[in-house]
Amino acid sequence: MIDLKSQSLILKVLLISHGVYFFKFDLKISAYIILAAIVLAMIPKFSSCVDVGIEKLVRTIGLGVFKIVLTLFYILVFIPLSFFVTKKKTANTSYEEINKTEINFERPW
Amino acid sequence: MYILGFSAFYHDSAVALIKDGKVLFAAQEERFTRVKNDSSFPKNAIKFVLQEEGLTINEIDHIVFYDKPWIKFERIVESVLSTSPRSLFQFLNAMPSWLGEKLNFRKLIRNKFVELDKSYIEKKILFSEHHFSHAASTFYTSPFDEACVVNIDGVGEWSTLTIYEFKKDSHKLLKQMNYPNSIGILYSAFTYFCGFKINSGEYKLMGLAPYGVQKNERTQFFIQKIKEELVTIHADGSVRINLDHFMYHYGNRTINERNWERIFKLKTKNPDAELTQDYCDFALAAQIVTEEILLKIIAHAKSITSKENLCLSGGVALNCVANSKIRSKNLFSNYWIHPSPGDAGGALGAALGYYYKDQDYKPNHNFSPYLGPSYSNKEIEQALKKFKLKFELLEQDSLLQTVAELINKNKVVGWFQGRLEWGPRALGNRSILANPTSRDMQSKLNLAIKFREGFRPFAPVSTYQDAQRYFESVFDNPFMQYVHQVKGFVPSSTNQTLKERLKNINSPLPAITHLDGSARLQTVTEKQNEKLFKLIKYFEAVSGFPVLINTSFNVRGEPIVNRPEEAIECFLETKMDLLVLDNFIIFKDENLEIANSFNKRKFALD
Repeated sequence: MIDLKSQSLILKVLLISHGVYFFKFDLKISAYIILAAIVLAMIPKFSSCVDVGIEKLVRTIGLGVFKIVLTLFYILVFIPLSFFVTKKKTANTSYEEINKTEINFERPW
Repeated sequence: MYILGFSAFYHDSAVALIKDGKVLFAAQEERFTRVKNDSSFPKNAIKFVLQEEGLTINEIDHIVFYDKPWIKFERIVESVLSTSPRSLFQFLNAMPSWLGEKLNFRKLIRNKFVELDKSYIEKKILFSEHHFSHAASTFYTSPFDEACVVNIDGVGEWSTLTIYEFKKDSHKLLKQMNYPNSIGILYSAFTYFCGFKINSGEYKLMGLAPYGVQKNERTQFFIQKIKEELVTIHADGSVRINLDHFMYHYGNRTINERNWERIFKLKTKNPDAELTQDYCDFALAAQIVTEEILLKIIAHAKSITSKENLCLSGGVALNCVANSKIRSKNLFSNYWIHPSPGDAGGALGAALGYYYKDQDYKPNHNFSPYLGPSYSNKEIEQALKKFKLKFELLEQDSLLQTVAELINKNKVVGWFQGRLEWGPRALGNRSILANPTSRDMQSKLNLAIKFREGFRPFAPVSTYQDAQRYFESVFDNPFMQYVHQVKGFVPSSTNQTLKERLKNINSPLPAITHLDGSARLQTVTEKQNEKLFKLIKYFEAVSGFPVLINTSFNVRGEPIVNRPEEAIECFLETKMDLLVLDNFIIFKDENLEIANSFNKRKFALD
């Protein structure tokens, strides 16, 4: 996470550089960006909604992409591997004899 | 040596703190967040206990989690693999959270503790095993120096049923039944089919079963079909689930509804649909089959351990009807089920299990379930003033006399005393108390105070010494883990409708007698809960009956109240007649204006 002071500095750098682009190189897009930034700054509630919305959208897209990767992994790895899984057959019991006397607390497995 | 045990991230997260083997505190996170069965990291409960004990997190010597997350992950992966390609959606649902944070569990926990206290110095998190935590929670609170311990639940890492042999200085896991064969999940599947929520509605299914009629053809048909189609029961009590009719091992649903509806010729009940006799008969069939399985398991456990003492744990041990059947078989001489046998109890088991790995256990003959937060008179008074309520502070004897007389006049009392109970049941410190001899009390409590289904029964609390006058085969039952038959009960005709049967219960204590004449009794001694004991004696003096209705202090869909403010809100929102907070007494009549103007919430279904 970037803290508030850094965010403010980053914002200033971006605004100044876009100012330079507009006045020195006549880039119209920079003027629109500065204008949009001023409008957002004037309506804080709206800008925070936009911020949350963008964050949600990015997260949803990210999760979607991750799920597509997982689906590919599932199709390419899990489905072929599943052909080699042998199922245990139980006749008269479903119990397994264990006879274990210790717990290893140190490890998560 | 301080040890903090905790359970989280599945359901019923909880915290327990022990010092040199002595339990100082145990409570579920839901009581703090007010989210029923809350599964989040129990930061509020941890914060509370540290503050109460005047400790910082860095003064805790060991932190123990109640299960092994990597083995759970292995089970999920193997399960997905063996059910591929049907398991794609389960895979997609489970993997993001596992790969995102749960696999690096130590980091996840460290971050949670840092959030809690920035000065947290990282220490190694220890991991117990799910069923060992269950086993330790029950044995290391028991009055035994050796015992056979049986744990039965939905699923731990892999295990769904374990049989242990515990001695004061050692333990041995003898046998284990693994996922997907699970008696807990099977019972949850029955619960779902009858229209109740999984992981919280199981006790409703148990409560519904007595409305079924065993000799009905439908009941017999259901029993036969469950055994033929759903589950193979081996002689040793282990089971094989016919996975063709289930979906929990690969999908996000528990049962294959279409198959179940074809097998039982009955639709899966919609939660809002009317309860018909068919579902009551089905609930009874489910209970009968479950009991048959449990009795076989216990007989097998006895045969392989030859112990005289039995400890039970796991969520299935909350089935007090089955517990009573087990006990009535007299296979063991002594029995112990601690007040929180479900997953929350694993928090205590993890801490105790770690402590006793190097220590001999000395049997505990005085385990108290009152392990949660308590609030001072000053805090209570502040809460009362916050709500601008009129109240009185009475001497104890005068308070008990007044409350007993009002209960005898069929007034309903919110009873808030001392430390919160550990476990899902109200045991007289956060309870709603009422008159068990009143014929209308059951429906009044269900509909006007708890806002829940009309069929649900209420439990009695009686002094241990007097209980045998009203209940059959009484033994010390301080945690409501068994049911007892009510003496003088006469069964009603099964030709009547459900409502008629409920209205016409023929019992000296109709409000606490279930349709089959059973009652989930809590016995109390002066040593276990002095104030409740005395109140019952005062009630006996005015009514002739040393028995009270004892139901949990909450409304439908909410956890039991914890703080005085929550008790006051519950009092104002419902038709409760008076509230007793420690020795403060608040009458609804004197605060009608505040109660009427109080913003009443809509309660969620549970």
